[in-house]
Amino acid sequence: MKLYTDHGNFQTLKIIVASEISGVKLEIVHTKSDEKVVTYLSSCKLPALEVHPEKFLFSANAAARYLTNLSWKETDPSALDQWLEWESAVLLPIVFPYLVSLIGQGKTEEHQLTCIHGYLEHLDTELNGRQAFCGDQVTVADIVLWSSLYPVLNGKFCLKGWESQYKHLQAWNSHLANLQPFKAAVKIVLGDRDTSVLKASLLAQPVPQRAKDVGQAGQQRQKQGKGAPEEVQVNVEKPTATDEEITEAIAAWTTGHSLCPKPRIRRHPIIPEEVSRNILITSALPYVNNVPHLGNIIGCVLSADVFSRYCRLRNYNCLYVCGTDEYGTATETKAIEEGLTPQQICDKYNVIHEEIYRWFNIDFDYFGRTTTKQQTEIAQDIFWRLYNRDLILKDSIDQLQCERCDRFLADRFVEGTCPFCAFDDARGDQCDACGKLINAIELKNPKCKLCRNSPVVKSTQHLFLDLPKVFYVWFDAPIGYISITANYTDHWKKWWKNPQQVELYNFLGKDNVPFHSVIFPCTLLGADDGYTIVNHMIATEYLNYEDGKFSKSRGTGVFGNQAKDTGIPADIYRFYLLYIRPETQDSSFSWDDFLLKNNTELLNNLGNFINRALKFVDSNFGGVIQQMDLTSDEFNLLALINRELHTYIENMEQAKVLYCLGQSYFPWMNHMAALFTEAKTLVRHKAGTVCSLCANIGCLLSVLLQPYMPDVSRTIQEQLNAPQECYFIYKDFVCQLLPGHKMGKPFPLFQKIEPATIEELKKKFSGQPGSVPPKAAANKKSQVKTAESVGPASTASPEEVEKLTAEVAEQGNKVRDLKTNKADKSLIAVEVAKLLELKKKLTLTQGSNPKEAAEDKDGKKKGKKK
Amino acid sequence: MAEAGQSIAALAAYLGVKAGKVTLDGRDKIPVVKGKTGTRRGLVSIAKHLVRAAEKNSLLGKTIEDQSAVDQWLEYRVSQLDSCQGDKELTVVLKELNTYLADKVYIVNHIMSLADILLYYGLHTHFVGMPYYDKENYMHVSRWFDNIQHEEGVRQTLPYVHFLRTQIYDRMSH
Repeated sequence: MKLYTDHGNFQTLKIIVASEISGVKLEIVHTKSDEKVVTYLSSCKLPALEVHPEKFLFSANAAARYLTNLSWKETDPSALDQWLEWESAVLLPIVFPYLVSLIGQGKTEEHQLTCIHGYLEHLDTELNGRQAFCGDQVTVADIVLWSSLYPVLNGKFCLKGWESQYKHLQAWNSHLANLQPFKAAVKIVLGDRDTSVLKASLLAQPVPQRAKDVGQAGQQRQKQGKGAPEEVQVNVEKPTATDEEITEAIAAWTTGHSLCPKPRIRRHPIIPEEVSRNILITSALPYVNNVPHLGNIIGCVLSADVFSRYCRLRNYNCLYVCGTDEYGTATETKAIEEGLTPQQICDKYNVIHEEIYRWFNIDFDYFGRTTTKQQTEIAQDIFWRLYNRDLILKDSIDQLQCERCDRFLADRFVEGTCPFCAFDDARGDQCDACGKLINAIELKNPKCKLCRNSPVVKSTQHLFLDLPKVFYVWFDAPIGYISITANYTDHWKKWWKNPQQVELYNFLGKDNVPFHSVIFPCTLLGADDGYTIVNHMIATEYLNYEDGKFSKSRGTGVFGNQAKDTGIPADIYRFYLLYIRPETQDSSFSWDDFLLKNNTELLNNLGNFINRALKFVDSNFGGVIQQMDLTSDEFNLLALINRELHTYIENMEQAKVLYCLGQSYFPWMNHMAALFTEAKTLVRHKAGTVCSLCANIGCLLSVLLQPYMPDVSRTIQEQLNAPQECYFIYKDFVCQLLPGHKMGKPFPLFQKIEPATIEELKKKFSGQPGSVPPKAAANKKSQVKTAESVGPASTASPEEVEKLTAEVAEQGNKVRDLKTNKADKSLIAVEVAKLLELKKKLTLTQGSNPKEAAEDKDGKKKGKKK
Repeated sequence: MAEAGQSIAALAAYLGVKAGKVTLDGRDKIPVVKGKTGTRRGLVSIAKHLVRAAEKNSLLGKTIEDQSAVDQWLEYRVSQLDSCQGDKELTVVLKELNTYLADKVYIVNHIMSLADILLYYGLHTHFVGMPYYDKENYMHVSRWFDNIQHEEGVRQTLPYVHFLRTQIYDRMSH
């Protein structure tokens, strides 16, 4: 074993004494005080014991304990722990700086002396009636304490008169000093000289620090939270492109403009074409019974939106469809909860969904719904085809029946404990915690969702796809994609029965993967009718909110329609959500990070660059693009931009939208900013070249940003007065703004978000867990939302709404009181019915929407309150 | 030392033993726990005592060599990590650990030890609210941290810290 140490290091005493005791022969390697032995440590901490080649113990205490344990057995390890810890955490952080002052600088400080006396007194008391610190035998505790105190108690710099003050300590010190291992160690470390030889090492070695106290700990935490990335400096080497890349870049810059095709004009209905690349994009159909939160939005609709916008910018013939999924028992549950009919629920929420997506600038070609006659026809057609091919089995299955409600319980009407992960709020079809599919009867402690009664198991006949899963909502839900397309165009078969010409992309959350990868394709294959089957499936993981989950019932997190009310533009939300897109792992929405990304990436980097470039052209050249005489430096930049552009295209083709955003855009910002800073000092002609080039880069950026931030993109284009033709992503960077082009007026693109605003938002969306029963909270919430989102269409006066709200609240309290006082069941039932009736009135008063009104006219539904 | 108290409470819960009340020693300002079998002083000593009480000695290292390595990193927690006065010192600790963990899954050998647990508890407060940039910068510590927080029962009531598996920052340009 090798021991690395500098000359005259008193901590080395510990290790040598221990090695002398255990009889382990050490090869002592003397190094310079500033020589780094343990490579991963940033200081040159010594001594270091090399237990195996390249495996070090850099703690002298741990090394000493290791060596002594090779020959001794510890009788009271806990006592040793405490002495060793006290020595390293308390004693040494005082003794070490004391010795640095005393031996290194020839002075002493009063408070150090006071402390040392305190410790010596403590040790003296401990040794009362004992030979050593742990019993009567010498242990590693004695070795460690003796070594650290050696220069304090012995030699030229010893504390005057300590022997008479601390008698027990004195006896212990001289006893050990006369033992052979201790004598030998002193000889090795000091040679034959006095303790002044420790000086060099004391001054060179890092000074051990005390653990900080409570007050400092609090400050520390706060400070750390604000650690912004700009503070970290990394040296940037100037990257260079290859000659080949530069030749290509020059060619594209000079002639590329004429090679770019004109952007395709979007004419509905979009139908597959022989000559084009036909791309059909679906986003998982949001379930109609809830308001989507930010996680739902990034999960599929927004990701698919980015991809479809990219496809359009590449002139692909692309169709993006989505819509609300309205069938299934969850609609029924929600309807019962809100006191409406299922149809009313669907109408109401379909509008809410549409409005939210419109605000987020989700550019669907068509947003439909599943409650249409096309859905019925297509689903039935597929069903009969499967049935006639004997691909549907009839089998009996054990199902849960609630005896109180007198009904068989559909999967979603049962709740209980997940049999796989023991999550206590699993649904009958799937567990939200582990995502596994469940058969309702496998649930532990099943409860009826409506009456909380425990259901009984009964056997019933069911239909199965010839797959190991019961036939249910997931048979017809994905068929919604087809029927929604059929609602969009009569030529839907050209999309859906055309696997040779159409590429199908499904965007979805991870919980829906089995249905899209197994059940839906199997259904379509089994139907044997030439259906288009999924080619690419893009699934996301979950988005959390501030390290917790989004929760509707607790009011935690931002739900679709609330984003608008924050006053922050939709593009900023889009940017941030895409930035943290849970592509390979769950990620979380954090307001602090949101602020940081807006104020740094957008405001400081992107916004600043574009604004500066445009302003410079505006103020110095009257907003006119100048002749650009590029030199090798700029050609190199063009080539580097192309490199990033190719990466962007490559990733987008695979629908890796997050990667594009993070890696591709912002790195160039630095090259350009550097170039740009130079521009001010240049002669006028050169400055014109650089600024005009920067304006062109701005134009390219505006196009590449379009899938992510469509409004910002449009604003930049307006400021540039960019021609419509530039809305196309060519494979290389081309000059779109030619010399002589007149630009518009530049103004700042982004607003700074203030920390105070963020604090407010944080508070607003943190929710109040446990203050109200979840169900009541959910009801209240959805009513408030309806008022906000359908506000303009409402015919009721605010007073009326207010009056009804008050009545509902009053009735609610009455019911709660009755329940708490365990009143008669029939009495409660009467009051509950009254409450439901009131709620229904209220919801209808607030939630009137155009579709519902139209249906009213046809007399299909009962009239609403005047 | 509020943090030491939290570490002890979380560790005790993980081990399924009672920690007793943690107080702060008046003179030395170190955590103290008074129990039936005596008084234990110091974070490391208390932690090791709890492990022995729970009869999970393997967490302290199986061989003498591993035991010393665990001891060394426990000392590191108190002397290096807990002594950080500000961002500068913390950066040093994170850099050291990042380099050390570059080719390792656990702090000592190939198995989780008390060193992993106490360093995880000690670093947790710094990881909460750390920007993704830094998490990515200290990639090996982040990987190790994420691994430890997923070890069954270790996290206790500490908030879950999120990491992205995808690199989002270009190392050259920031």
